[in-house]
Amino acid sequence: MSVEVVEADEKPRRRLFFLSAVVIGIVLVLVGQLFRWQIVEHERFQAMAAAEHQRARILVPQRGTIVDRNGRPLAMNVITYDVSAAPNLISDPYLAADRLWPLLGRPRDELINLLTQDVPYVLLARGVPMVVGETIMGWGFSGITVEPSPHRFYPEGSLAAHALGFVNAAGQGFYGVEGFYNDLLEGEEGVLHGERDPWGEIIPIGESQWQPPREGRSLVLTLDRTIQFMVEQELAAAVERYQAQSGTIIVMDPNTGAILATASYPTYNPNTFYEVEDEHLFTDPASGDHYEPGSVFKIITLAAGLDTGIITPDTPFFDSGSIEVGGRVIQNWDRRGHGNVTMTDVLVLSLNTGAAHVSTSLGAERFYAYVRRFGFGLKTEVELAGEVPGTVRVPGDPNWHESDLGTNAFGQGLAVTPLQMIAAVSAVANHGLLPRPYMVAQIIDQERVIATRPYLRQAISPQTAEELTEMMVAVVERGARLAAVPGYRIAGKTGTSQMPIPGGYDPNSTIASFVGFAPADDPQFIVLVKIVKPTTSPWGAEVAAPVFKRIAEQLFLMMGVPPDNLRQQAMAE
Amino acid sequence: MAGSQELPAHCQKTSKRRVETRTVVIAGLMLAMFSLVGWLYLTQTSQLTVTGYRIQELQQRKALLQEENAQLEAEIAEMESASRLMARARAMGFQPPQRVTYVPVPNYPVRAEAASVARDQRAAPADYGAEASSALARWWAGLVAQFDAWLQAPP
Repeated sequence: MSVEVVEADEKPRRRLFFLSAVVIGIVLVLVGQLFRWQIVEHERFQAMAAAEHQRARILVPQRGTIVDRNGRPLAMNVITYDVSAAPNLISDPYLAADRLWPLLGRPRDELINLLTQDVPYVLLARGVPMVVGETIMGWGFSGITVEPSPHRFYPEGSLAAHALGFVNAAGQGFYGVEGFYNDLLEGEEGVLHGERDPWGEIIPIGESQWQPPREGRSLVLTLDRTIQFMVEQELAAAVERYQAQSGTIIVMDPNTGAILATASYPTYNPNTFYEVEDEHLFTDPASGDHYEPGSVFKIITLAAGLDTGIITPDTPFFDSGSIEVGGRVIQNWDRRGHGNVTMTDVLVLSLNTGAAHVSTSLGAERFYAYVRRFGFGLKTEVELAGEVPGTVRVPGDPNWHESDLGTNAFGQGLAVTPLQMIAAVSAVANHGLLPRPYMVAQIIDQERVIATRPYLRQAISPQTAEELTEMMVAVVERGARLAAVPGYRIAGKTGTSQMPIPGGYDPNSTIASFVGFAPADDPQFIVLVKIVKPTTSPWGAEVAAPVFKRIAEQLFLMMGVPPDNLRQQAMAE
Repeated sequence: MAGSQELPAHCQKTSKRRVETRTVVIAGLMLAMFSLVGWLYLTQTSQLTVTGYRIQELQQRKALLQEENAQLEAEIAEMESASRLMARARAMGFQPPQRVTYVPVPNYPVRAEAASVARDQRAAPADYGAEASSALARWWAGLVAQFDAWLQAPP
């Protein structure tokens, strides 16, 4: 009897125990889940919850503008619209095409073809003007989407394209100042965090955090739009006139290094950079491409000779027509000997033998020290993306040869950029002070203006610069007469260099160049002209010098520089 | 119980009523006050929300106007571009000067200025850029003024 009672009591107790275990198990699971939600994955769930009623809006900064030295806009921002369509949502594609084609400038049939495709998305037009975008938006066509997008706009078209560079669809600047100063120009994004309403808009009185964007800094360039335009016109005309392949012209203030104009041809329109097929066209030939300067480099050789005192302008030299340096025979451009000449004659007649004589008299160490002192083989540090340092082989380099000392003296066997060359000759115009070329005059950061201070360093003595200037004046007066402008004393030097090809030099191609400054006694500008592969004449004196003259004539007018006699008379009074 | 002063029954009734009336009045006042505060709060909040949305709307309008302004500035800049001006000038018969003659004018005031500019340039060559710029600006302004005068001249 008693055994039965015990059995009857055990059953409910076991059930109770089982039930308790189940409940405890469930509670443990729940506690575990709670622990996971509240402690382990607290942040994830908090973020998910916040996302339900919070919104973060990225505040995009305005890209800084770029203006020329007179405040004329060269790069600015506009809103354009991208028009796209979802063909499967368009009920009447023919009607849509009828309305769209006159505004988008695309053939009607082409639009019908796009709108009848069985795809969810087609791009109809990119970068249409604001008025067109707003008109299409106003129609309220179902299936047609019009989206605004900020767009970089260059109101002068292709003007100064190589100096400016361009901005791609993602807002990244490439080449020129757009590339060099991309970080400064693009600014920094801001953000607005806040509670959102059912439509996704941030509630004005809700809790919010605002971090304003930092607007992009604006740039004031040293370029002068009027001079730039004139130079580009002259360059395009010269390339056509001499049936050349390409060309580059730089105008600079030799006293400061401020670049007033830099033009290269062929060029492109940065508004439609994506249409350019050859990417090499984006590289700025003035700073991103090098060439053998030819006889223009004799200025540097003679500057070194004068500065070290081994020659004077009147030092005699017997020109036999050839000279041997390092086992290589160097000849003059006309293959002739000119007999007894002076160092001034060496420059006027552009004698390779005379230049090689000076460099060998200097010795490799001193000659290359001067080449470096003038900045060759080093970047000028101009604010343009893609600058190259050029190539100068010096003793100790594996591929330097003793004969290089002779050929380098007249600008062969080394490569320089046009910007390096014009900066180096600026030192002659500027009492021996070598300027660092610069393109950006001011950086404007909201209310703060950071002005660029010109940087100059002594390359040669003022006396050397003065003597060399007179020798260069003799070049224009007795040699390169096509560069002369009546009423003005101009200092200059021509250059004709061959183009290196694998295994030697191309016998049929030359680079004709001229560099000159004026007025010689008080230089206001320096101009470098480089014409690649002219076919009407290979010589710098016949191709580049006349281009210099045309540009100088106009610069005198634009810069208000009267003829020497009037100016000197006015100064005297 | 000689010391005790019990109020007569009708007096007790009046006092109780007075207490009840006061309670009702206080409660009423409190209710009115809470209602007023509530109404004020709701009005303020609703006003704030409306104003907030209005601000948002105005900001959007401002942004749109800024976009339109930028567009107009871009159009102006494009219309004033050097290539357009040159084409327009040529179409109107303008030509580059064939011959330039400088006429020295004795004691012309600009000369003193030019001489001082030249002196300054020598003293501080770094400042030349600004001077050249103003000379160019003057030249350009003069040219534009001549152009304007020509346009406004009777045929």
